[in-house]
Amino acid sequence: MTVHPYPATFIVTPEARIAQLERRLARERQTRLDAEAIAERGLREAFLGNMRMRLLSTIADAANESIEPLDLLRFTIAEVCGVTGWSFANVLLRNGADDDERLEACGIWYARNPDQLFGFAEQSRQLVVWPCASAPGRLLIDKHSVWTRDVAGDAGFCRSESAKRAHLRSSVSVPVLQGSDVVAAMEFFSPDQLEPELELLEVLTQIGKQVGRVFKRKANERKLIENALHDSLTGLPNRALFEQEMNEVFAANHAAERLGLSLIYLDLDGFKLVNDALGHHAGDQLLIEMAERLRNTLESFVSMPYPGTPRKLLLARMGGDEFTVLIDAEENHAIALNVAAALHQCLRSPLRIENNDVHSAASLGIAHDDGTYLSAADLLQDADVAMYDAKAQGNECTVVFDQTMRAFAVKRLLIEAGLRRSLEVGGFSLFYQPIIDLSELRLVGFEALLRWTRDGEIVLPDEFLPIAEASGLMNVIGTWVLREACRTAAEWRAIVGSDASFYLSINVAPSQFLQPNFMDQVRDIILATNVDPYTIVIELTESAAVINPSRTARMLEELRAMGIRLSLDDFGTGYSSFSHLKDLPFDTLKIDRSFISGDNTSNSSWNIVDAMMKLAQAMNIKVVAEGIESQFQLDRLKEIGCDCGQGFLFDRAMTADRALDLLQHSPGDTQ
Amino acid sequence: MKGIIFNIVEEVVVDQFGQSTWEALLDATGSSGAYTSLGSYPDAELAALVDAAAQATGQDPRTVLHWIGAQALPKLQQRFPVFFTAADDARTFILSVNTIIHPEVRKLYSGAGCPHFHFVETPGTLTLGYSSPRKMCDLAHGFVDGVATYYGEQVAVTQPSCMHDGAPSCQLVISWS
Repeated sequence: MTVHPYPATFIVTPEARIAQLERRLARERQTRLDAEAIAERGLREAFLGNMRMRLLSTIADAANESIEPLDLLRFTIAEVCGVTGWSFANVLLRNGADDDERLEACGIWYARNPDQLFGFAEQSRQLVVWPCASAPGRLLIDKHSVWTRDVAGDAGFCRSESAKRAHLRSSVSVPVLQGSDVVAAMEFFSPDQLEPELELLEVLTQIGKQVGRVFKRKANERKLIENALHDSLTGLPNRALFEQEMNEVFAANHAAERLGLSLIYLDLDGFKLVNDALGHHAGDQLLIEMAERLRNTLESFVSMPYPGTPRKLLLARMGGDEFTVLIDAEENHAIALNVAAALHQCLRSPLRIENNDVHSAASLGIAHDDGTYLSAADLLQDADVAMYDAKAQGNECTVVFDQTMRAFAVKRLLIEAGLRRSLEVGGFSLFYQPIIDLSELRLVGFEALLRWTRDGEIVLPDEFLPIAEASGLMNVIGTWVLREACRTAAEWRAIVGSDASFYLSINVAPSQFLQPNFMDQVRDIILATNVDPYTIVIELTESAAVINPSRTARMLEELRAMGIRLSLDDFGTGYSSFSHLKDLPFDTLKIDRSFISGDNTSNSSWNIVDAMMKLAQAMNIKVVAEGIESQFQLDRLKEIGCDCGQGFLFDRAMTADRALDLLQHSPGDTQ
Repeated sequence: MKGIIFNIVEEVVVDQFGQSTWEALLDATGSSGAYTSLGSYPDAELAALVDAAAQATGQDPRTVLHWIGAQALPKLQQRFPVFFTAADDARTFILSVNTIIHPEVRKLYSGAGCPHFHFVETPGTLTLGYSSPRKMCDLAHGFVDGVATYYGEQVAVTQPSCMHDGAPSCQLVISWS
């Protein structure tokens, strides 16, 4: 059919034509808006689907490679928070027997800003829940994820007061199922009242199942290990075999009325850093290689019989990065010390893991049977206590147990409890040590130094920092330090005005730097404190910087792009690898105080200082010397062109008020 | 800059001054004007449009940006009503920007460089810390005024520090009377 319109209809005036075109424009516009809306809905669905698939596959991959459920849980909660933006997560475990339904917190938690959520984290860390109507206890009954829009409206939620203080509103609790049993739970919190998202809940439930697989694998493995007596990773005797042998030797020696048993407890110092920085696979490789070295070293003590050859020498892996050695010999005291020295020696050369040079060192504790022990288990415990003492003294230490250490072990527990309390109620402060331009003797900045006051007494950093590190509190304390120092720097800047030039140097602990969300923390703190990033210098130790140089380089570049300057701390005391220094964008390096000692040019450490200066000058890196205490040292440093320094010769660390006063009245406070 | 922002700017200009004004601004800046909400366009193009509008009206570009923010709010409400029904008042709405609104924006427009606001709350005030190389604190300020109008609340906004004056970040203090 053909339609022939009546031509007169199409003869239009220009005005009508314009009106027509405008209607058409409006129609086209509406069409575009509709098309955009359809595309946006599709994009949003695709984005969410993608994000959830990626999250699920990341966790599934990690679950496939993981042998330790707790490590996987630690990884999982951080990943989920990273993807969803939730600010806190906590892990609960079923620890008891089969009929014990309680879920208990285990100290594994994640917080984007740990110092600010510490009160809630502390309460969550001690949580025990029974089956009940509220999350997370409800998981034990329902066995599927629970979304709570607002915990304040949940009468059964026992942490509501501290949640309110931490500004946490919504929670999602996710069961970790092994078959139909809840073996663990993850709980996540957000500061916003979030409406339940069914798809996300489903993904979290799947993640719980993936983690559950690893629990199952571990349970199966445990059964196998109980039957076997060797560690599956290193092939070394395991704890069960070691304890069995140790008990037999102890009993035989006591029956024969002789004292020949010594136990060595060994802990690898760098292991956790490697795990954090390079992943569990790298950590496993490190353990395998180190176990091999330890095994070869010990074999040399028994392979050639000689007078006094130990009757028995046994190496075992107790778990994690802990190894033990049993020595039964006539001259057990001397042999134990020789063995300890040899063990340190064999760990010294670096190890190549995934294209990184990894340095490892051990802390060793020795306990000798002196006839007063009632069981070998007590002897092993004392070797462990001595090992902790060695760890507190620094790298590559061996400590032989004596009775005073028991008191030390108790003190350590008290310090840890005190640190936790101080993080909740306050007790930390920062002191500020002036940094001086040596050529003009002009104040250029300060280094922020942490002070802890416990029951009115100042506790030295050397005393509490290793304990903070060992108990996992270093990251929280470090975040507090960063926030407090940035707050101070912002305050000073506001008071002295923007013309005055000064910087504040802030120490960042290795474990803090290695947190996956370290950059987020720095960004948050800069925004929260409104600090000018150009007044901030971050000090990083060599050991933290070199452990994964490519990641370090990336992070340093990011910090630098924000305007933050970077200083390599304690230079000379660690590995001092010049190749690292060349590849990492540090602005300054700090020569450790131990090199600046002595008032005599013949002192050999001055030669080292000279060499470090030449190196820094060649690389165009500024140098700050620490620990300047005498005029001689100052003159010597000026002579070789050292840029800046700090030490008692100028000033001790002081309170923020005094430091500000000094800054305001220093002739060098304006450019 | 995401196309959606250009779309909103176009809508407020056309609403207030008519289609011809928008065409004139496009001519003045040499922009194509073909913006889809799904696309990305140079930041400089938006800055040029704002500058052209400032010249045409004899106003400071920062005033224009503030005006755009305040006027844009009802348009955003029409497009994305769910964010407004989810919040009962201006404070709750503003506090949801980082955690709800911007994450949603990123879902729609991949690669959107949304700023992160830092909030400090007291009973009568809300301080908003803003830091972005775009230095669009005036737009944020306008949005805040628009949000207050939408919820029928009286607010006063002061800005004790501003990136335009060399500060490392902008602080917007919102006070409720």
